[in-house]
Amino acid sequence: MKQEILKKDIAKSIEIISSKIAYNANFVKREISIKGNINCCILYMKGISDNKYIEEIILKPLLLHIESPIEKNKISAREIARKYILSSDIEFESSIENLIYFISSGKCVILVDGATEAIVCSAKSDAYRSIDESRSEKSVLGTRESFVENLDLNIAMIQRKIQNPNLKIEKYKIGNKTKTDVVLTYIEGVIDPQVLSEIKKRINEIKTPVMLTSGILEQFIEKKTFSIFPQCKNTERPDKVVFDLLEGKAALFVAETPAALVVPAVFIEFFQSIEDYSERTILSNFSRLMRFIALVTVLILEPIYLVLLSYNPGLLPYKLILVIISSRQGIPLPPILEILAMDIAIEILREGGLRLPSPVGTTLAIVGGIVIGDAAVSAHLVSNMTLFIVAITVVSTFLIPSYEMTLSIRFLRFPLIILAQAFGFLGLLAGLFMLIVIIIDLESFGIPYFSPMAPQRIKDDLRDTMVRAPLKESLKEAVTFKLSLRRKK
Amino acid sequence: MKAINNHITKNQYLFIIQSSMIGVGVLSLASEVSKEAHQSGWISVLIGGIYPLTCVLIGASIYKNVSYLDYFQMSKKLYGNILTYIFTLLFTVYFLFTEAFILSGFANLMIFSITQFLSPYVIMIVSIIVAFLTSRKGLTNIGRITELMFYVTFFIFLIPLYFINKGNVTNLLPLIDGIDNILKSLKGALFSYSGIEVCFFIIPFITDTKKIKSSGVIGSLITIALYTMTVLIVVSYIGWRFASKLQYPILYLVGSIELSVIANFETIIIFIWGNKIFQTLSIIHCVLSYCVSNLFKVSYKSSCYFLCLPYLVLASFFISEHKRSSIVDIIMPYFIIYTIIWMILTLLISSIKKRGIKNEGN
Repeated sequence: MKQEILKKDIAKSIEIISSKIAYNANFVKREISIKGNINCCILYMKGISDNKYIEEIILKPLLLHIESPIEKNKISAREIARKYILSSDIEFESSIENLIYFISSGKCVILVDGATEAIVCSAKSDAYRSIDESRSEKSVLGTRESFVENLDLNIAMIQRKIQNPNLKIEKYKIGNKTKTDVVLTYIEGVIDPQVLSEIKKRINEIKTPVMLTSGILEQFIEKKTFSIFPQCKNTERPDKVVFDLLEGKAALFVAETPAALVVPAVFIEFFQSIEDYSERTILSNFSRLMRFIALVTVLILEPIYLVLLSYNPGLLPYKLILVIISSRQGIPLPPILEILAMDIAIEILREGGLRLPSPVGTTLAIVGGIVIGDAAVSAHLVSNMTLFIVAITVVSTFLIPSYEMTLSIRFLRFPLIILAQAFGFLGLLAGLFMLIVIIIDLESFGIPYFSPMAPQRIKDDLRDTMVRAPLKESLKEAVTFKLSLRRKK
Repeated sequence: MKAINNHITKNQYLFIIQSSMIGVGVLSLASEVSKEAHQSGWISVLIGGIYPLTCVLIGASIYKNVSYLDYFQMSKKLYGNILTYIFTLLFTVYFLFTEAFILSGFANLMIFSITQFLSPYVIMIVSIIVAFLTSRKGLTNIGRITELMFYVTFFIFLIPLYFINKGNVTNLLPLIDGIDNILKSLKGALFSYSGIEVCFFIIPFITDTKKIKSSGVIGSLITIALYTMTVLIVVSYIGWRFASKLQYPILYLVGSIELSVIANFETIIIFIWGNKIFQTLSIIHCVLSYCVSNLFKVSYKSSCYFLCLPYLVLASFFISEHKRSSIVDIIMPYFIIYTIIWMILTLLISSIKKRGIKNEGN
């Protein structure tokens, strides 16, 4: 399709552009005359462009600071920009379609009468939320900054931390209707070229009218849409992204999204926290171990309790049976319904608490957790023991550092409970085995999801998995994310 | 076969070999060998270990002689089409029976121990589904699972070790209770190593052909050590007379450990061992499907899927441990003799052909 370009007659150009941005109250056309003989028009979008910046950097020099006379027929847009515009970020464009895109994305366009090129200045408003502490990935010893909705600022946070000329920043436009900026960052020479080309291929293959968040992007670039497990890692923390880039991964940023999408990602990473590297080796290993115990607890505590109550009470020691019997006396519900009812109640409370403002959320947690739990026990709907088991399971979910992985693991306990109810220990055994099969079968951009444990890299990468070696060892170059290196080995 | 990834590392080969043999044998072996060899049963198990070692060593030598062609290419090159078809068919039947024996043995044990409330058919169907889902993506996934799960199942080793100083050494004396008895019980010991024959099919899929022999040997040695240690500890703890009367002596043994949260170790060992059974079933199902897909020219996934039914039917004939072990006693010797003849013959022919090619080159 042939692109429409600017006309020499400024009036015509303004008319075309205005007709294409019709019915937009924020669209501003400011016509000026330089030295009384050259007509210009400044076009921008109120709200997303910075009015003050435009006035100070563009309008003021053009209207007040031009002293020497300008010959109308000899002037070009490039010359005006070179001599009179103070903005540092300038480009020239003649395509009307591109100019409309620039205006919509917050830039300021200056049309000059008689010129077939327009000056495009960066004038995007900085009215964004200031850099704040991450809400979903809090840390005690780590940095306090987290990503914000400003794409440039997010990239700058990374650049400040990696002062390396090999840090590459590539821009893509995704979304036929939204034309959203998506930025791919990686360190050349560190990332595996095969992994990089796979990432680029998948980005280029995206066909969607809308691209609004990194969560949407994630679903477009992952291979197994119906998998429960996240194949990319969403993070709000720049320090985490920096660590990942140095390990040979890439980070994707979506404009107006306060998070980065790290690819590829493997299972074990979702149980590692950035603080693990700031703490003392033994203490951080203890924390990691606790997380894995929590994972096992979330997955199997409720199913095992169910199996022992429903099918194999004989496997419990005598004293424990007495405790359970006394707690279950007068409970009309079968164990499966008791557990499911409590689990679903907690899921409802948690989902409710998530959307509410924090003071109300806390109240809801207290009302839900203590009052409803206590009422359920008093009403003989749920036994003390079941409440205890469910509570331990719920508390264990909080130990998993990644919110996405927590969601997956939380969900997985339901099929395991159902399998345990249907087939007893066999169901639980088969369920857990299939879970491992599913995880092992997954790949993230060609990297096996369960690496470096399966396939194993004992010598290379096991130093930073369920436990981590001292930093001198664990910060050595990882082989997991380097397909070509792994093949050579 | 395009979507199937069969490549494995030599480390994964080691764990596949180790897992391919752990069937019901580990739980009932002490009883089997104690019947004939009495307190010397562990010697039979140790001697029986020569069989898996021979298989992995000869298997590696055969494929080295034929430059790691895959099984069908190798067989066609050495025996031609018709003999390849016959030999593969025999192996297919063998694996079908082995898988059915393991499956029925697993169902029998589960009913005996922790899932009395389930029908054996339900246990078998669940296990078949697990084996099918695990093996349908090929050997690569199985290799990864075995290498990961080895560390989980390593506890099978640790639990009997708890009894190492609790037994009575006099239960093991005199060490040798007649060579004849040891040789007689060798039959039972050999059956517990069945499954090792998968090595004849998977060696060509190993990506790094160096040290294949040592990987195979280490894998076999782990299983031999586990079997021998189990029998040794069981007999030293409860004596051969009692061990020979029990169906699963190791379960009796671990049942005597009391814990504060769970009545005994029996559940834990069945849980861990059940994992091993799923691995063994998946490995054999994978190799079986590979044979059937090449024999009948169907896709690997289809053969993986369609094989579930015949082997469920076959396994259903072996429900009740008594029936199963009597059929195993009848059928298995023929298969083991066949395997021994095939591997020796193949090794000889492949060596002669290799030498012939070398001589032609000179």
